[in-house]
Amino acid sequence: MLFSTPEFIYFFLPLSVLAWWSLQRVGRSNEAQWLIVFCSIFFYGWWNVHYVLLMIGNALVNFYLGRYIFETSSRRCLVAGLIYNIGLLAYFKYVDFFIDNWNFIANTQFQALRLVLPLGISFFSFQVIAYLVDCYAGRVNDFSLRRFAFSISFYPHLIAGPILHYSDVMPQLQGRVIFCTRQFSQGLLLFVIGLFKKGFIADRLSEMVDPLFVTQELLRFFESWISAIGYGLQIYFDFSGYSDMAIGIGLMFGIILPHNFNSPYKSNSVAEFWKRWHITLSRFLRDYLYISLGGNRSGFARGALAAAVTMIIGGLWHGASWTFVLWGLLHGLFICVYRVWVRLGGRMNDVLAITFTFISVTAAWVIFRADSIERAISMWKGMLGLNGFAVPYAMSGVCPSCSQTALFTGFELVQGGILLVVCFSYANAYDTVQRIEPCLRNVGYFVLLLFASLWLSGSHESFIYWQF
Amino acid sequence: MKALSIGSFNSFWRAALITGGIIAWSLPVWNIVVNPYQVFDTRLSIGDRYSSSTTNERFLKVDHLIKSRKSANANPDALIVGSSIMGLVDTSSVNRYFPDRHFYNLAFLAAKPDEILTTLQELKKAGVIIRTVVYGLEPIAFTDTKVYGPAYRLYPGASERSLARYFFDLLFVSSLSDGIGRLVSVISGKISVRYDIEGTGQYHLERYEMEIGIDHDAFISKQFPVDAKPAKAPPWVESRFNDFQELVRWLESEGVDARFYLNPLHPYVARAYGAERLAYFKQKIAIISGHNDLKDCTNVLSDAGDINRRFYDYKHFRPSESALVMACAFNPH
Repeated sequence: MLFSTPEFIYFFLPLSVLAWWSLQRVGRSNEAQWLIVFCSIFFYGWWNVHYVLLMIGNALVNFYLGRYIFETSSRRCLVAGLIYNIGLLAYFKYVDFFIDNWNFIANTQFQALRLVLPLGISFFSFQVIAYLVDCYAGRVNDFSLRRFAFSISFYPHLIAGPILHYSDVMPQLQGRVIFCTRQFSQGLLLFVIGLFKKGFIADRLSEMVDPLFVTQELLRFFESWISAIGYGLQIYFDFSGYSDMAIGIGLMFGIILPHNFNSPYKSNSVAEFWKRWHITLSRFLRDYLYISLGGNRSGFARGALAAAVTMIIGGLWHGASWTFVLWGLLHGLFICVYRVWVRLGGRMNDVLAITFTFISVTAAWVIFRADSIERAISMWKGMLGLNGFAVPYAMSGVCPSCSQTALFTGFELVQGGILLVVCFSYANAYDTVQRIEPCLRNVGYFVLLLFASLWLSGSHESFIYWQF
Repeated sequence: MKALSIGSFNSFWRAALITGGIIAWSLPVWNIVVNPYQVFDTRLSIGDRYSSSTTNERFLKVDHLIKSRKSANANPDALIVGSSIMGLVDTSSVNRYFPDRHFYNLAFLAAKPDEILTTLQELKKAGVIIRTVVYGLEPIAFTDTKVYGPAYRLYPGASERSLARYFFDLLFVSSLSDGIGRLVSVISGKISVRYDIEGTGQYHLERYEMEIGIDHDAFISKQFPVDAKPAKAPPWVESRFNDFQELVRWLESEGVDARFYLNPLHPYVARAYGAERLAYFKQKIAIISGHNDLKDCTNVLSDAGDINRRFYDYKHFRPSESALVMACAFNPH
């Protein structure tokens, strides 16, 4: 069940919110929490009922293991727990990748398992890994199964984050959750902004971008740039839309989920980009991987290496494919280059730095989206002008001697330009709703955005991050 | 200027929920009343049946064939398939060459080979008899990468669950622009297109025919501007040829008498592809279909002269040309 589908918007969301507050109102907080756990299981089972038991079993194993680790401070149990969770993730997500590569290297013919990847397993696994480590470090002081189950399964973040720490949600559940009209209003507005970003912008961009990435035609200069920037915008609005919706739904329940997206295209370095894009993933990678690898404490070279390795693992987390590994490697290299630049005392004008960062991130999106490394290389060549130039039909009057492309109309340049202006200059939705006032104009915005999202949306595409 | 306050957030969230609820629940009401895709009960909706330009042929034609398979009337046992170009073909002009068959025009707007295969398989599964299939091809279907909306959603499968899901999705689908088009045509009383879903399956471009009847030369000037810029056709979508191969194999395996030929092209479209690409297309279709003597009717209308009088636009030849085209496709000489 996608957040942007009618079954969710018209039925599941209003009914679950209504049930939650009805129970809270009569002082049945515990029952309300169990009800949301049940709703979240239903939400998960809507996609594939067979994996519901896996999710429940996995949550129970990790809860009791965490408690045991806390009580015994057993390093062995922690290691076993980490191996179990990473092993589960590896089994479902990476086993075919491993088999394919092994077959290629050793010239063997092992059959791939072709398992269906349990939805959200990458997010779920990282959350429970963080939980076990926090239990071991003594940072957890609440072992209520109900609150743990609520925190781990709460449906707004279940499939694609934000990736929660124990301390993000469980403490909020200890007392009765009080209905706050301001918070609820903020949640409504944030949800609708996210819905608009997803349905009206990202899904429409996908209709334009997808054919460019699957065409067998050699993409030339403008076509390649339109594909790369178009995908950069699609994933931006898709993921920020998802994050806004998730946090907005949380607020409708009176639960504050961590900020996950903070205008990343305004970053003036790739290092800063990762402090703004998928913030909770970056936080996890920093706290549980980068610092474990030595972080900044072991000198410049070691720190740069740790950053590069962290980014490669971050890339692989997105998907079991060499394209994701290379995407992570590219980001790792960008961060290393940036660190060297800073160490050498390099300075750059802010506008130039933001432009440079945007171009680097856009170039990297090519391999993130492309079906193969060869395809990505071909598109990079196109972006450098090595595949030639062609103008769309609408611009053929400007350059009558240029060859013509039928892959885009030229109108996409205007659309892309408008969206880039939005990305670079507008305050993000999260900050905007912090400042809303209860005025008619804001009700008008709410209605307008909802109208556009429901009445003018593109086809309901799955969220890009749901596949990870 | 200070925005007008509505008091407190206590009023704000209530106002937002009430107005939001009205906006949201108006959508399914709109989809039933305006019924732009004609999939809901037409007794509850405005305008003549199947006269919306976004009528979902993919659903309605299949639904009609499945529902009528057990009726006492003579049921179709032969199908015309293909894109909107084939949708205009008069079934009687095809029946003439297959006297013991009863044709139904199952062509869809922008139909692709994989959609045709899925639809035929669905019909077969539902017990519809298919003895002969006539498929007029043109390169456009093999280069089209446009994403199409709800008017192009295939029949979902015979199970009740998937049918319910299909209707549920269309009940809440975003349909503002299609619905406004429908609303305007109903209010103005000017119908552009009429689908004969429960008859021959053919569709009729009523507004075009009316304009032609009034002043054919003016119609031609409007549809075929003399200073039209030359266009370039998009690249091949190679997977479409594989899909076509799958279709050919399935038809063979089911023992269906399948006939393929190449549809006439307007010279403007033919130039957009170029002679070399058209030759490639013909050769590829001939090899895949196993029709070494594949009938190529690409130029049959341009050779007959006065080309713009024979077409509605650069893609679609007029139904009055069906006899000439079918003669090219099925006459042995």
